[in-house]
Amino acid sequence: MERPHSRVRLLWIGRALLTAAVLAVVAFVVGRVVPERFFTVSTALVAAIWVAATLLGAVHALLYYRSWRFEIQDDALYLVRGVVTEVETAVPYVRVQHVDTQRGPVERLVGLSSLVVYTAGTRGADISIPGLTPERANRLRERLRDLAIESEGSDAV
Amino acid sequence: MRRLHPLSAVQRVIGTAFQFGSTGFFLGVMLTGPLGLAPFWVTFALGGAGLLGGAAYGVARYLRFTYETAGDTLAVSSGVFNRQEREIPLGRVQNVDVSRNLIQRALGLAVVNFETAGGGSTEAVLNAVDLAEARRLQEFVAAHGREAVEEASGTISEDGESAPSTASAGADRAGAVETGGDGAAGGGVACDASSDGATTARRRSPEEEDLYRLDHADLLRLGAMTAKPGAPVLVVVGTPFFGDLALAVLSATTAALGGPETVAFELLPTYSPTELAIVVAVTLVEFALATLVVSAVLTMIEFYDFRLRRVGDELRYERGFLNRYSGSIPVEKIQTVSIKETAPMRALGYAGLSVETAGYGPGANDGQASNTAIPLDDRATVTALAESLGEFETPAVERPPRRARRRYVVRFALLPLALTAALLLVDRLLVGVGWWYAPLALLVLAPVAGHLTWKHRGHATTDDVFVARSGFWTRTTRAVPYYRVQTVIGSRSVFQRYRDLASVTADTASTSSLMGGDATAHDVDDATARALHDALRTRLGEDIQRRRAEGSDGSTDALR
Repeated sequence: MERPHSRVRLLWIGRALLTAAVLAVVAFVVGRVVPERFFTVSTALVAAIWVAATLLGAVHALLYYRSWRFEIQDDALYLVRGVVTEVETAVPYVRVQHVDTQRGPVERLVGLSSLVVYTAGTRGADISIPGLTPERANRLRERLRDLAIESEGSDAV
Repeated sequence: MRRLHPLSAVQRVIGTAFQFGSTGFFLGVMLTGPLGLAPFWVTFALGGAGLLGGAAYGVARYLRFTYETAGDTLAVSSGVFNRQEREIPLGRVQNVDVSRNLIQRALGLAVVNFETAGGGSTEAVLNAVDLAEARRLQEFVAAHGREAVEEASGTISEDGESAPSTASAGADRAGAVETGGDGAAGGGVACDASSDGATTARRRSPEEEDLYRLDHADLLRLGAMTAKPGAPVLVVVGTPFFGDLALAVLSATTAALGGPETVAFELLPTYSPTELAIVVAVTLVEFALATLVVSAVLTMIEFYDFRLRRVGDELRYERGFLNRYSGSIPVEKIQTVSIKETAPMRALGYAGLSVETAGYGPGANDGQASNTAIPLDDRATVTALAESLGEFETPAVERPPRRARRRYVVRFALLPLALTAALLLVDRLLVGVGWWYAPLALLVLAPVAGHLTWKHRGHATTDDVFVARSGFWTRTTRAVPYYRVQTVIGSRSVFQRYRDLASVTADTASTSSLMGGDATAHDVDDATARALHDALRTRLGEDIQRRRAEGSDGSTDALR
């Protein structure tokens, strides 16, 4: 089973830090807006929320990274990920509609890229594999394209 | 090249003229009034100009909108400023739907929608053509499907090998498309058209057959046994319009029950606790009654005079009291078939049937009624029709293991506990609530709710389909043919892992899964889940191979 590049942890931890900061700001603003006779939000509480959210987010990001794995199997692309709820998805090559590689600005900053596989399904319509080096993402995209053609999919609906 | 019906132009012109005119008038009012930039007459000048411009735009739009049915495509060109030419290969059309509202029915007009898979909305809307033209279009698409079927059986398949003998290939195809192989049609319903007879008949003109008609007695039963999710909302929104009536009814009831003589918002603080309790209880009961009535009426309007016919390889239905909808669903485009039974329907032995395609449903925004095949009939008939639609079976399902039930009981117990905790917090922090522990009484219901949830869940696998069942209030049994599976999704939450359980979903292209209508085997044993995951994947591959080998997937690929 292959794993995303370890640098993707930076992205995910960064995202967690951002969320924690937003939460702390929201708590602070709520404290300012709500009249004191109902309840007060002390600076200590805001700090506690920020620290807790940061820790939780960072731990979640690390565990999420540990849970992420994928594999090109005989008939399908198989991926597993998730901390609280572990989700495994099998995308049969016959069902692949098209494959994208994407690089957002933040991803480019850490030199990573992600791969998105589209099917005609409604729930698993787009499945993305994050944290791939650009070369790996491109190779994977070409491999999946070839597998999809090989499997001679119909119009896959 | 054809245009829409001239009467639709009149409607369109009036619409755009009014829209542009009112915009111009409003702009004029703004300019002359608050801004004071222009003299008074400008208001009317702008309004008039908008009116004329709007009318002209309406005419232009009508003239620019043309469509053409030629060969294998439907071509639509439209747009005045942004021009659009669209071509839809007929083989990709999932269903053709016709809807007519009251005005259109009076004028003999119909709106035709062409749905294909994918895309966020209906691909082509012809608003509006006359009824005969609508029927012609529906038949045109259906005839194209039949031609493609004939070609597939007679000519070279996509793999480059010529098909065996025309006659036998034709018969095979008819079997595969229509009844899903031998014997599946033996359900004893009126629709088990004999396979060999159907083949020859299809060559020339399609064979027609009435499958089902909802009579008035069944319509009443359906109304009584179906809950529309929109009904409570409608009652809440609608009550202010009948405020006096609602209050009068309330007052009469409370007075009869020994409560206050008159009920009004401003009197609320003056009631004694007993009176208040009576008012609250009566309000709740009457709200529930009103909801039931509204729900029944909505359902009855929707399904009034429902008919289902089979025309060649298509199912055609018609329904609706004020707005009449009709749709055609090619049998070979059916993704999943679901049997729906509400709690009262189960108790009385009734069931409903719906079929899902990858297209979008017409008219009904809730997507519930979009592809209803049978709103209500006895269970045996419904199952038989489901089985006659192809490789859809409705076998006995295997329930989740008993430890899953414990999970549901715990889940339902959480709600009263959370409610109690919330009330306790309010009690301590905000205002004193003496009875904060009252929600704990609901804990008694948790085992019951847990048991019922468990009882109605289950899954099964047969030779051709994966079947998943769930839901207490509306129990839905979905059958997904293996070759329709798009992705296989397994999920295990912490709580599921704790009890060694997992859920497996077979995702398809059907629209209903957008509304949370996935075919999911909930909370099966972890080992079973792994086996199921593998089985779904293997069977998907095998069935596609098999269908291709049989020639039913080769050159007719484009139909699917």
